[in-house]
Formats: sequence, structure tokens, C-alpha cells
Amino acid sequence: MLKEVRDQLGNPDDLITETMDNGYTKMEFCFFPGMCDINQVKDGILVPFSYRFDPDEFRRMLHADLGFIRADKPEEWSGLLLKGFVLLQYEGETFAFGAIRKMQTKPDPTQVEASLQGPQSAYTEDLDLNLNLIRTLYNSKSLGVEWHEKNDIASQSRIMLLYDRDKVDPTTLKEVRSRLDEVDKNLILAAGQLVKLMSHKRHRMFPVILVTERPDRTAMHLNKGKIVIMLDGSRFVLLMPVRFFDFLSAMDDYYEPFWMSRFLIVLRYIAMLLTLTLPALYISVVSYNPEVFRVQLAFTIDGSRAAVPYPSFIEVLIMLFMIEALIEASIRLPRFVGSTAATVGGLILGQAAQQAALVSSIMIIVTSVVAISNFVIPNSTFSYFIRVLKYLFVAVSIFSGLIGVVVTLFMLIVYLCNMRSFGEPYFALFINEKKKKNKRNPAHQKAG
Amino acid sequence: MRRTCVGWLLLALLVLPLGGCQLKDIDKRFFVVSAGFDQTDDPEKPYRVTLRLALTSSKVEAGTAHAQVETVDAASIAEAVRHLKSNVDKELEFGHCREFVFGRGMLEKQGFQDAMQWLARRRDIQGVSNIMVGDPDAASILHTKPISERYPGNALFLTFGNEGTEASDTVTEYMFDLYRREYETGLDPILPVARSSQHAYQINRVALLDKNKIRLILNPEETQVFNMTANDIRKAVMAMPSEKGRIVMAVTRLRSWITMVGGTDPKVVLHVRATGFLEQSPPRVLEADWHGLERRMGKRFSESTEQLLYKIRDQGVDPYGFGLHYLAIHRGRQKAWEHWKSIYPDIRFEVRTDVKIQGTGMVR
Repeated sequence: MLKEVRDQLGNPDDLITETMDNGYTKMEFCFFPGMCDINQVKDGILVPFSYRFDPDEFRRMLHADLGFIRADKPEEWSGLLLKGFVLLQYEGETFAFGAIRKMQTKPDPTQVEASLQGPQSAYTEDLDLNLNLIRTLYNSKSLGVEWHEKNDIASQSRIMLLYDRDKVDPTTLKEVRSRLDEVDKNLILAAGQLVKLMSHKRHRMFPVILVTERPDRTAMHLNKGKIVIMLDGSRFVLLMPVRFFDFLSAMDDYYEPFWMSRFLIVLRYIAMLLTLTLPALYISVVSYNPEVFRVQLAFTIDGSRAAVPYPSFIEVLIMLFMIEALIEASIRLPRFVGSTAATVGGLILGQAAQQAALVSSIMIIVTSVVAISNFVIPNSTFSYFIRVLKYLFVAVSIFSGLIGVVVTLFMLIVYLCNMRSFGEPYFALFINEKKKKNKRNPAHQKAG
Repeated sequence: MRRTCVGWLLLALLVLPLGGCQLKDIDKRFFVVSAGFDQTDDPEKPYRVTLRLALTSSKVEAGTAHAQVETVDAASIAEAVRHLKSNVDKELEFGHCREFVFGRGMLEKQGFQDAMQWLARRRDIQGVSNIMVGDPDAASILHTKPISERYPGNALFLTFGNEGTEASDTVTEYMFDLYRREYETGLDPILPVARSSQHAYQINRVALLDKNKIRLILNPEETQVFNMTANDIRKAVMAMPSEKGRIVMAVTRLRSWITMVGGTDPKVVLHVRATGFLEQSPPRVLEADWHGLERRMGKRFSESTEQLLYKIRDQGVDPYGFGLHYLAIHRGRQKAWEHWKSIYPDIRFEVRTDVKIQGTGMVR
């Protein structure tokens, strides 16, 4: 066996291959020490084989213990080894012993989707632990779990499909499966990458898959009949199909008192509209329709813009470039340097730019409102999309002013109405529950 | 791939020229804050247009408002504004011009219809602009520099409407309303009369016009009565002398409506219901005869209003819209209107005022 394994793997240096002899009998034995928990190997194999050797007991252990799997096919061996199994051949029989080294033993704290009063635990990079988190929160016998096997994936990332068998829409499930089959990238490292591969080319302006790190959000969506895709090694899971409005809901909306959460939802939508249109509105109002302002404001802007050498759109682009660079820098920088960067950029640069008459003082306010409002959006993917879409509005406003902004907003709504997320309308405010149930039931009877 | 590239290029080419020359930054525009129209003696160039242009600054403080006043004579208002552009360094912007002053001379000789045409056609002139008569001419109003002004034009903005001061003898006339009154059958235009006094404006009279020219200018007392009965202005006072001293009631609520009685020979009845409290009165006058005081006060107000109505009628104008009211309740539009015109010079008025005094204010 050892020779075959060595040949299959090209004899790597980090592979231990040993023929062990305890004086009575011999055992062939190989594993990657880096991928295995050495204590488990010792307790499970080495101790029974050496110090406490009893041939009958050892044979019984190999056949009855759940940790040992029969692995008779030589072509499986290398795959098992790579997953962290220990291979051993004893009396002509080959067994794989699962001693995979687990890095994570407890759930991570939430990092991207923080919540004030909700659960604080998030997914980890270990699929089994993630599954445990979901099973704990969504403790239902109708939870369906499916492996999605793709043999040609080099990273051998395990992909798992979860759904509620009673609530899921079978046509959507079929669509998701086929879309997953179409993914032909052979190295999938993160959830975001899978999202990109699964999304339709037509749907590049808005995300159709919600990426989350929160088990409670996953459980809630499972309960609504959504489908979950989990990827080993990723702290995030994929939820689909989703609607536009799911991206603007934070889990706290479900945990806070009614009016508080309503207020926050309204605030979020206003903030999203502001961050999307404010720079464009500034350009169009300053350069095309100054009569829209109150007269005081018009005169103040006029006064403060008097020294600015560039037209309004250059001014807007300068400031937007600065703020985007700042945001990008503070994400990548280590945390303690990040705050310094924010101070330097936000306060000093903004103040200096205004005093140097490069931008007007109102523009500083516009820029900060745009940046802050963007952070109000609870989903980071969605906030990226909004950040980029804002430039479309800026471009239109340069050429056609206020009317252009209004028309673009209208076109955006038309586009959203046209969008589908895995066959379900993306911009639907109310999904007709009764109709959906009728559609689902006959299929369910057929399946059951 | 290549086709999409070409597509994008074409789109960019199409988009680029769109409105390219329309883009004009706010600092390249000259904000007109008020405009005045006068008549000159020159028959070649009968119109004198005066524009007050705001010189803006980023700081807003009382007394720091600066403005530039430009005047030009031309054959028409539209031409005058075009000529004026060559006098200034930035594009004229009428978007924030909400004060238009018609010179009294122009309104007496020539009327306001030409000026109104220009105002109503421009897209950048707001329907909610205030229109007034400048006495003796529009230019004097525009040259006035009120010391309380925070930004150019601010003093006149605040005078009208309820935004700043709510004076009972200032009539507010918006452009949309003037336009309506210009063309409505049985309703005639009114305009406030502004006069400049040193460093402020005095706007306490109203000019009553026929469809084009000034017929009558009311004095401040009459203006207040007119404003109360025609526009239901609150925050007015009703005063009455008595043996012990003057009794003054501050009106807090006021409502007036018109009815017509009599078939072929109608009489116009103007109902007024006023509620208020005594702001100033001799001691114990109210307790002695509460209802009597209310009656006497109403009677006095009715008399002065009737006098005013007859005065207005004798000038042949109808700012209250009695004619419109008559047309609304009589059939046969053309005939009814002819009939109304024939009876209006001799029509009788009756004013019924119902005064309700709530008390003497904080003093009991």
C-alpha cells in the first residue's frame, strides 16, 4: 500500500509512511502529520497497537469502531489522505481513521453583521461546526441536507445544500442545483466567489444571493423556504432566492420593539437613497437648477463656490475619489493604523481642501453624508453595489442634470422590477403566499 | 465583445453633446433678487427694466447684504433683459427672483399686461413670486438698501406672506393669482403698493386695478379693512372710540363670505364673523355691557366696510369677485354677465358683522 500511495502523491516530504512492527505482527501506516490531530492518532492507533496490543481486540476495534472506515479501493487512498485521514493496512485489509485536525472548536463572534441584542455567534471556517450551528437553531426534522459533489474541484471544497423540505419551492431548488452544476471553476475559496459564479450575467448591478455570517438569519430564511449553500472553509453562507428588501434588513429589526425597528428601516432606506443620489443631486442642482435650493442656501453655496476653480462635477469627483480611497485604505490597514488614516483623511484633508478653496464647504457635507449613509446599509455586498451605482448617477447628472437623475432612478426601478432571483421576482414587495402554496402543494404530493 | 465596445463608444458619442452647453455652475450665475419695470418718456424705448443682482458671500449677517442694481431702457422687457446681459459678467438667473415691482407710472398710463406676458412665459420665473406696485416708481424700490437685510432681497421676501412679518395692512399678491385675476371674468386684480422710506420699505396700501390699469389706491386703514374682508387676514385689530377711551380688539379668528339676496335686483351681503380679545380698553367696560359692546363694534366695522365697498364700486372695479359670485349662481353666462355689468354701478351692499369678544386677555 505504501508504495502505491507514495506513487499517487508523488512522494511528498510531509507524508509519513511507516511499517510498524510491535514484535507480534506488522502494520502499514501513513498520514500527513500536518493535517491530523496527533493525539487522536496516538490514542486511536498507536497505543492499542503497541503498549496494549491484543490481536483479537485490535481486530475487533478496526471492524467495530466508528472512527475506522474500510478503504479497499486503492484509487480512494490519496483523496482520503488529503482530507486528513490516517491510512493503515492490517492483515491485508485497509482502513481509514478520521483524525482530522480541527482548528475551530467554538463559533466565531459576529464581525460583519453585528447585532445589539441578537445572538452574537457567527459561522466559522469549519463546515461541520457550521452545520451544528444551523441544526441547533433550526431544529426541524424537515431540514434537508445534501452534499454537492463536484469531482473536478481541485480544492475539494465541500459544498452543502440546505433547505426545508416542506417549505422550499421545488422549481427554485432545481434551478439552484442546475446553476450549481454549471459552476466550472475548479478552485473555490470563498463564498463571494461562488456567488459571483452562480449569479447570472444579466444580474450584475445588484446581488441576487445574500451572503451572511449569521446562523439566526440563515434559520429565518430556511423557515421562509429559502435555500442555503454552505462552503467548507468559508465563514459565510449563501442564501437564495432573495429580494431587494432582504439586503436592507438587519437581524435587529426582528429583535427590537416594533416602532423602533420601523423607524430604523425607514432611516435605512432614506440613507440608501441619499448615498445613491446625493452627489448627483449636488451636481445637477448646482450646475443646472439652482432654483431648487432655498434662496439662503443658494447664496451661501454661490459664495462658497466662488473661489473653486473647477466645475462642480470635478469637485464632486475629487471628493468622492478621496473618500473612496479613504474607505478602501481603512479596510485594508491594521485596525490601529486605520483610525489614524480616518482622522487624517476625514478631518484634516476635508478641512484643508475646503480652506484651499478646492471644494466648497457644502461639498464636504455632501461627501460625509454619502460616506456615512453608505455604512448604514447592513449588508456589505449590497453597500458595495450602491457605492458603484452612485457613479452612474453622477455621470448622468453631468450631462443632463436633475431630469437625468430622475429618469435614471426610474430606469433603475424598471431594471429592478425586471430582475429575478432564481426565478422569483426580485423587487416584489409582497409575495402572494396563498398562490405560492398552491403552486408548491401538488409537487410536494408527487414527491412524497 | 467588439460589438459591445462599438456600442458603448456610440452611446458615449451620443451622450456627450447632450446639454453640454447647459451646464453652468452656480458661481457663474448672477442671481436676480428683484426686478422692476417702469415706463420712460422715450417712445422708442418705452420700457425701463431695473434688476437687483445679489452679490453673494458665504457669510450671512445682518447688514452685510450687497447688491448691484442695473438699469436699461429698451423697446420691450424681453429685449431689455437681453441687453442687460452685456452689462454684467455672469449669466442672469431668475430662478430666485420672487419680487417684481411695477412702477406706478407704468400702471397708470400703460397697464401691466405687457410685463405680465413676459413674466408668465418665462419658465424660470416662479408662480409664487410677489408682485407689487412701486410708488413713485419701481427703480426707487430697487435702489433701497434696507439695513436689516441678511442677504440680498431678504427684506422684501419676508414682508409678504406669513413667512416673516404678518402685517394686517400688507396685501400679498402672487403672480399666479394676478394672472388669474387678469383674465377671470368678474374678478379684478389687486396689488400692494410699496414705498421706500430711507432704509426700509413701507407696504401698507393696496392698489385696485381694472384688467390693466390702476383705478384706486386705498389708504392704510381701508387697506386693513379690505384685507380682513377679502383675504380673511387674522392678526388685525378692530378699534372703536368710547367716552372713556379707545377700545381695541385683536382679531384672532376671522371669516367672511358673500351671499346675494333679491332676484333681478340683487343686494350683496357680506358676512363677517370675527373673534378676538380686547387688547386695550378702559376698565370694566366689558363686564358692564358685553353683548352691547360686541354689537356696537360689529356695527362700526360694518359701516366702514360698506363705505369702502361703495367707494370701490364707484370706481367700477371688483376685487372681491362679486361678479364671479353672481355668475356662479346665475345661468346664461354671456347674458348674466351683461346684466351684472348693467346693475353693478347701482348695486347695494350690506355688511353683517358678528363680533365675538372672548375676554380681556390675560387681565381678568
